[in-house]
Amino acid sequence: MSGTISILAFEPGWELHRFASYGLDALGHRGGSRRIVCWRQSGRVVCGDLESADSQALSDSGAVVAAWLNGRPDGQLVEGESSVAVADRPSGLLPEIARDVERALSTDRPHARLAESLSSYGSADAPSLTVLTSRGELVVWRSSVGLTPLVVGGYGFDMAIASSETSAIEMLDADVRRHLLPGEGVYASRRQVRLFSTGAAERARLCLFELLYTARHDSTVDGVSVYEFRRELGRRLGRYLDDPVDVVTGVPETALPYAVGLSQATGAPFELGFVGTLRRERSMMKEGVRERLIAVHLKLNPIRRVFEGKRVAVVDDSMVTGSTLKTVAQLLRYRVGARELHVLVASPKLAGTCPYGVVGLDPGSLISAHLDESDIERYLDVDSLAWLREEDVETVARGFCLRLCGACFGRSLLGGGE
Amino acid sequence: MRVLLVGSGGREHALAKLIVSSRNTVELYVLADYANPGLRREAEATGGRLLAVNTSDPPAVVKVAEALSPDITVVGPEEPQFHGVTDALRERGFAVFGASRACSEVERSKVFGRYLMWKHGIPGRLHFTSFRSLEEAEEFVRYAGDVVVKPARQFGGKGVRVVRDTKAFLSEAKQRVKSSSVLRTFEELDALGEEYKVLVEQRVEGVEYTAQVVTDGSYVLPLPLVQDYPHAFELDVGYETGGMGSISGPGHLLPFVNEEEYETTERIVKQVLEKLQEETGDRYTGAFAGQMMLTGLWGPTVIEFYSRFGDPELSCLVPRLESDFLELLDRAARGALAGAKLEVSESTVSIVKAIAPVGYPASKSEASGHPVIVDEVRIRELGCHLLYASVEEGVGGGIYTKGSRAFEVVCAAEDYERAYRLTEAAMGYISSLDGWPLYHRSDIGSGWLIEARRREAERVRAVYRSKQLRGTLGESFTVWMPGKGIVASPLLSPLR
Repeated sequence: MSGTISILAFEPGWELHRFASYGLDALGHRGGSRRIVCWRQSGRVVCGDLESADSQALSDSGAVVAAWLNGRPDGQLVEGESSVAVADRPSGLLPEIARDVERALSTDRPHARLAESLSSYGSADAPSLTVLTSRGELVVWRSSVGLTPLVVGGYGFDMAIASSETSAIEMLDADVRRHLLPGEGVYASRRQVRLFSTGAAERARLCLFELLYTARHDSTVDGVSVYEFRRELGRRLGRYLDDPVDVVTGVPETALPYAVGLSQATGAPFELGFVGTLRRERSMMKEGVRERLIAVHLKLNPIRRVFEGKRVAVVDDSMVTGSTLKTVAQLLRYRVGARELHVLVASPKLAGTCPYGVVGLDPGSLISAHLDESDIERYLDVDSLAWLREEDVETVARGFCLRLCGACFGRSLLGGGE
Repeated sequence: MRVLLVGSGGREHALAKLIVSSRNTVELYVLADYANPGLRREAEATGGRLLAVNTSDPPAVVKVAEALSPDITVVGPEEPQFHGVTDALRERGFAVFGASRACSEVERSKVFGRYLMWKHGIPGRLHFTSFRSLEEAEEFVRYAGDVVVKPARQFGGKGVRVVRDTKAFLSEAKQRVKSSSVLRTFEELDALGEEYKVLVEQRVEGVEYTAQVVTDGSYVLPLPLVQDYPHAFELDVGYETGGMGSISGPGHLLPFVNEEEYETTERIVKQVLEKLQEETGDRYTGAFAGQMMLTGLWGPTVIEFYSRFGDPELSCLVPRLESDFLELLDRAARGALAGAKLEVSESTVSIVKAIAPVGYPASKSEASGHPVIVDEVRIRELGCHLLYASVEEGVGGGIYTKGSRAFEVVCAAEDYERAYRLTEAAMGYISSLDGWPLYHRSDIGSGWLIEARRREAERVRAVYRSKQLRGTLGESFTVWMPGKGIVASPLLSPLR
């Protein structure tokens, strides 16, 4: 997972390093492990750490690209002759696409040529792109397949901003202008800004994980409120809770809206259950078992009185290795003394890895792909365990007019209809 | 009827088209600063001519008028008004449509119009303050917060900085931009010898629209509302321009402004016109417009005033007009507008798009001097109108860009979807001959952008209605300072 924020200033004098820095902070939840920033300096585009970047050069650049990348940057960053390209996910196609973009930008109708050359990647598995050139041009393109979102905003008459998420644009005090559709892109320079489109692929869809886990609750993805989507899935969970409970809670932060939905559906009160220590960590995105556990343990100190002697429903957005829920169950049962534990997962069972490399899932460690339900229930040591079914996601997605990719759940399309 | 039209651009071409469609036989003469080929052809088709003069030079304009003895003179742009062209013509007994110098002060000075609104308590006014000295202005913006910095006089639609400042962690960076903007504006207006140089106004957000009227000083006849699009680039980003396009309809409304808001707007405009005439002691004869914004603070709110028709706002009317526009201008010029009617097609909407050479608006020199070609026949086949704006005829009859918006295309249809397709198709028939890129905004008139405006209007409507119920319309910026109590806006009205 990764996130980008790119800014073009039409007027001089803007301290772009501040905007890049806060923009990246706003995207920190997306789970990238390395943050880079690229800017123009002495006729070239250079990339580096935000901390060590020359803030004056960065502001003078007039245009910057800042991104959270995966631990292994291969296929996510290409530093070319006169431009730098950043992809939303690792892709072997990136060097070739970056070259084509460079070529298109050297013509006098760059937006038209960009549309032409990028449309040849419509059927291929091309990633979404953000490109900065040494002439100060900025190109963003959402791949024809879509998958991850891309949104464009504006600040007064002064700046154009593109980002993975609306909340980053809002945090920079700017206004969201358009959610790019799959295949749509924007060419921006100080002299021209042009919307172009290579057309959406027939299989264009949004990654379900984006709505399930990656995006912030306060973001709007393709026009859909992330919070509302999550709460709606939580409401659907109500039909899988057979036993009466005293309290509903969610694993922070992502699962809270699901728990709110479940509480609204069942009438059982929603309570905050845990308080974290240090900054918010994205446990699922950690690569090693130990790192993941550290992140989980840091964010999960229980509020004892909420659970003591109670029948508890705990909601999480998904179950990958099961280690988070196992930790929660152990804590609540043995340390706190909950009477009953009912675990509800607001997504279907994960069945395999992400074929697009958007979500880094290790197929060997997906618990639901290897154990049956009763074994998982035993492993977690809970009174009941339930997942949402694909039909539920399907129904909710249709309600929001979304076409979702659920490849890792074993369904290449959820919602929309083919 | 012999008509003398003063002005050179797209608005004047729209005026020319509206004038020659009159049921009267028209002989049109155009006084322009440059040889606009569209205006020349309109004039010649009626047996008239285009004459090149400095349109802001009263003696030069009067001289031509005396030679031609027009039945009516229509002054399109604001600059000739600022320079006293309308007054000079009236002094010689000519019937003139166009605001006097004194009345046009409402556009020229951004302080004057705002002062009027505060003095007479006219609704839709914003808190502002203006500065004569750089030190005071610099000191003020250091603490001003969420504001818009503007030149204190009309400055060709340039120089406005909207600095939203609602995030403390970015505030310092924004304060520095505000300061440098104040300095630049100050220097530019100081060079013009203006008294007030910088105006700082509270920032509001919402949906902008333009309310244009024709008046003879006592009777006010409103035109259908228009929305114009000031950002240079698609997605509403980039530089402020005079306008890259506009839309009008259905009827006299816009898809995001309702009847009640229309009526409030009309009341504001009428009140301003009345007080403006009281204040100047001068009769207002001509076009007047309020650049409005529907805000959560007031509902209809005034952003600017124009002492003329908007450009490209007026162009929207060209395909929708059903009555005699010349008659209207003539009755206004003669003080006999009472009872006049403006008939506009109820069943159509219209979209205007401007096309400009790349370089506009930041670098006029880059955008100038490029040969362009238009397939007018095809545009006419689509049922659209082509308006010539910032282009002139060169030697050998070629048409060259002058650095601003080169052409406008206006198309009408029964709905926006159809009108949109027509304007986009028409844009395809305009190109440069030297390969220099031209651009227009493909998003203007599109369903998604109109929908975005509608949502924005809904958002601010909920806010102003709640303020209306609580009786706090227009109230904002109250600050509680411990030890001092509640203080009204730090941006003071000029009536301290």
